[in-house]
Amino acid sequence: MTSPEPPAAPPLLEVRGLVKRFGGFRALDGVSFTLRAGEILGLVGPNGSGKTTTLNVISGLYAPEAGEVRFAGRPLRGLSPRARVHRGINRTFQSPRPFASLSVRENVRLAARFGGRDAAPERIEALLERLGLARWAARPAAELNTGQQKRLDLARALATRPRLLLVDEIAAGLNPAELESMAELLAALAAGGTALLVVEHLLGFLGRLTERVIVMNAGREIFEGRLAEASRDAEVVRVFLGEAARR
Amino acid sequence: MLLHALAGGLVYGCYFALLGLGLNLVFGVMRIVNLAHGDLIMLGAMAAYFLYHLAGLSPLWAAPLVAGGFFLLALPLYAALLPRLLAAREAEMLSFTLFFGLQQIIEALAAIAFGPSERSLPARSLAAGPIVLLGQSVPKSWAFSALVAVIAIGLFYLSLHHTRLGLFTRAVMASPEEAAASGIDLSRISAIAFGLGVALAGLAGVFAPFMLGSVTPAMGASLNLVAFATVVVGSLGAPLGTIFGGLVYGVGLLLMQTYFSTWADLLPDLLLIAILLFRPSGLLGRRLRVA
Amino acid sequence: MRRLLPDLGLAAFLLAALTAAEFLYRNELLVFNFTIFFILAQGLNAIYGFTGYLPFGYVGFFGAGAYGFALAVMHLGSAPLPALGLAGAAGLALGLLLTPLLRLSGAYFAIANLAAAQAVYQVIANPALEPLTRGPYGVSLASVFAPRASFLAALALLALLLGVVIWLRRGEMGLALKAIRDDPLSAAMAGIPVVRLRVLAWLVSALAAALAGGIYAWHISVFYPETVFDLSFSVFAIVFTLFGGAATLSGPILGAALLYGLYNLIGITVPQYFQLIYGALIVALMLFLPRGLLSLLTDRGHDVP
Ligand SMILES: Nc1ncnc2c1ncn2[C@@H]1O[C@H](COP(=O)(O)OP(=O)(O)OP(=O)(O)O)[C@@H](O)[C@H]1O
Ligand SMILES: [Mg+2]
Repeated sequence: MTSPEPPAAPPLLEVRGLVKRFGGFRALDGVSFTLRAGEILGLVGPNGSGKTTTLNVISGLYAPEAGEVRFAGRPLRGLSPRARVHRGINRTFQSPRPFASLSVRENVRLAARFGGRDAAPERIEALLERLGLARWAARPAAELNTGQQKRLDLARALATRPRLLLVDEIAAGLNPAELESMAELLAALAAGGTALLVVEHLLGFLGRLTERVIVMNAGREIFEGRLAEASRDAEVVRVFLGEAARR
Repeated sequence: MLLHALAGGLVYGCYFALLGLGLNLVFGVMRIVNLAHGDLIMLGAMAAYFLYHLAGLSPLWAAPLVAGGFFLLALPLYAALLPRLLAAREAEMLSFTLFFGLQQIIEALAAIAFGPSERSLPARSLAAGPIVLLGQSVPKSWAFSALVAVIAIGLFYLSLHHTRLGLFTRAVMASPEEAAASGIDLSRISAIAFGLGVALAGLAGVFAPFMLGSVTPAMGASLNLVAFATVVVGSLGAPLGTIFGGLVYGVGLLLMQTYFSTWADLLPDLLLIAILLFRPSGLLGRRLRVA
Repeated sequence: MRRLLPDLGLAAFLLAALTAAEFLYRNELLVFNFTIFFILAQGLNAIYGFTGYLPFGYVGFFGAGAYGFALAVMHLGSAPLPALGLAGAAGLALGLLLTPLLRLSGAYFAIANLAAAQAVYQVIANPALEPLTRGPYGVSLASVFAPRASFLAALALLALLLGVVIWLRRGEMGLALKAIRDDPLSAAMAGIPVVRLRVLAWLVSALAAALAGGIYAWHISVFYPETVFDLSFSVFAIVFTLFGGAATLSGPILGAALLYGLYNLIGITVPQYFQLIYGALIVALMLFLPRGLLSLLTDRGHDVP
C-alpha cells in the first residue's frame, strides 16, 4: 500500500540515534529511521518500550540527550512543539486530551485558526463530518466517549494541515465499524501525501495500513522490515512472548 | 553575635518545623492546602492560655490535651467537608478556597469570643530562666518548646516509618491511585492524616505564646506564610523535609534579624517565591515529574 | 453582533446606574467604592475566569498602583492623569517581574503570588524607605484631591475593562485562553501561543488593578500602606467573582453588587459577624455551587451575559 517514491526524493522525516533518559533510565537508546511523504510506518513494541517517548521527542515535548530529528531536510533541535506544528508536524495522544470545557466545534476551530491559520467555517464543518463528529459539534468535548475524543484529537491535528502525522494507539477502544472507517481515513491521508507514523498494538489494524514496521524493545529497534516477517523474527517473538507470559 | 543567632536559629528552627509539619502532612496525603492551618495554631494558643489561667494547667500538660482534643474535633470536620470536596473535578483549587473560608469563620468566631486583646503566657508557666546552648544563653522556655517539637517530630517519624498505618500513609503519599488499588482504605488514611495535621497545629499553638509573642485572633493569617515557607523549603508533600525547612528558615530568620533587622520580615515571602521558582520540589526533594 | 447585545446592554446599564447614583446619592464614597470593586472583580475575572490562575496577591497590583500614583504626585509633581500612567506602569512592571510565577500551578501559584504581594507591601512600608515612600507613615495627596474627576476616571476604567471582558468572552482570544486552561499541551499542539497569551491575560489583569489602585489613591488622597495593601481587596475580588460565577460578565457584577452591598449593611458596624457570614458563604459555595450562582442558569443551558 505504501506508494513507491522515486528514490532520489529526500525523506520527509529523518530520525538518527535518538537517546532519551529519565533519571538514570534510558527510555530511548539510539533510535533511527526515515519516513517519506505519503508513507505509513508502523511502530510496535511491548509496553514501556519507548514508542510514545519517540513521538514525544519528534513533536518537541522532550529534548533528546543525543541524536537528531530532521524534518523536510532541516534540523528541529530547539524548536518548541508549537513551532513544529507550524512546520507541519502534529499528533494524537495515547489518552486523548481534548479542551474539555469547550465544544467539539470550538476545539477544532482553535486548531484551524492558530495551527492551520485558516478557520473557514466550511473547512471546520468538513473536518467534523469526516471524523464523524458533526452530530456532537455543539456539545462540550468532556461529554464525548473515549473513541470520540480520540477522533477529536485527530480532527484537531488535521485542522493544522500536518505533513507528518504521529498517531498514538488510536485503535484501542474503537468498535469494528469505527476501526474500519479509521483505517480508511488514515489510508486516505497517506494517499493524499501525508506521512504517518503509527504506534499501534492492534497488528490487524496496522496490517490494513502498511507493510513496513519497526519493532522496539527497551528503547531500541530490534526489527525493521515487513510486518509479516516480524512475526518470524526470533527476538521479536521472544520479546512478545515474554510480554504475553507476564500478562 | 553570629553564634547567638545560630543558637537561637536552631531552637526556632525546630519550632518552625513543628509549625509546618501538619500543613505538609495534609498536603502530602490529600494534595490539599489547609489555609486554616495558621488559625488552628491560634486556637491552640488560646486553649493553652485558658487552660493555664482558668485551670492552672502548665503548657506541658496542656500540650497532649490540646493535641488529643484537636484530633477528635478534626474528625467530624473532615467528614463534613472533605469527601465531597475530594470528589470534585478541581479539588485542589476548590479546597484552597474552601479552607480560606474556614479560616475566615475561625478568625471571626475567635474575634467574637475573645475580643481583640493581646494575650500572653508568662515564661515561668513553662520554665523560667536561661539555658546555655553553643555557649550562648537562650531562654529555657524556647528550649523547652523546641524540645517538645523535636519529640513530636521524632514520634511522627517513628510512626510514619515503623507502623502499618505509617506504611499505608507513605503509600498514599507516593500514589493515591496505586495505594487504593492495593486495597488501602483511602478515606480512613486521609481522615487520620487530617486529624493529625490539625492536632499538630494545636500542639504548635500551645507553645506559640513563648515563641511568637502575644496571641490575638488575627495572628493566623501571617502564620500561614511562615508555615508555608518552612514546608516549601523542605519539600511540599514530604513531611520530614519540613525539619530541614524549619532549620533553614529559623537560622535564616535569626541571621536576618541580627544583621538586617529592618528587612527581616521579607524573609518568608522571598524564600517562598525563590524556592517555588527555582527548586519547586524543595531544597531536598527530587525533581518533580512534569507533564 | 446580535450575540453581543446582552453583554453590551448589561455593561451600559451598570455604567448608567453608577453614574446616576453618583450624581443623585449623597454618599458618593460608597458609589466610588462600588465602582472600584466592580473593576477589581472584573480584573480578577480576566485572569482567573479565563486562565484558572487564582491570584491571591491581587492586592499587590492595587497597592503598587496606588503608590505609583502617590510617588508621581509627591516627587515629580505630576498632574493626576500622568500620575495614573505611572500607576499603570508600576502594575505592568510588577506583573512582568512576576510572570515567572505563571510556571507554577494551582495552589503553588496562589501562595507565591500572595507572598509576592506581601513582599511589595513590606518594601513600601519599610521605615528604611521613608524618604521615598514615607514608609509606614502614609502619604497625603491633598494637592490633587478631586473626587468627581477621580470617580469619572474609575467609571472610564470600568467601561474599558467591561469591554475587554466582553471581547474575551465572545472572541477567539478567550476561547484560546480557556483551551490553555483545560490543557496547555494540547493548546500548544493546536498552535496556540500558550506563554504569550497567558502573559497577556496576566498583564491585562495587573494593569486593571494597578489603575484602580492609582484612581483609589487619587480619590481618597490620604492613606497608609495597610490601606492599599489590605488583603481584603484580594479576598473581596475573589469572593465576588466566585460567588457570581467566573468567566461570565454578569457573575462578578452580581457578586460585587450583592456582597459589597451586604458588607455595607453589616460589615462596617460589626465586621466579625460579616466575616463570619462571608466565611460560611465561601465554604457553602465551594461545597454546593463551586462555579457560582450563575451556574444554576448556565447548567440549564441558558446563555447569560
Ligand atoms: N516523563 C517521564 N518521566 C519518567 N519516565 C518516563 C516518562 N515518560 C516515559 N517514561 C518511561 O519511559 C519508558 C517508555 O515509556 P513510553 O511511554 O514511551 O512507552 P510506550 O512504548 O509508549 O508504552 P505503552 O505501550 O505502554 O504506551 C517507560 O518505562 C516509562 O515509564
Ligand atoms: Mg505509549
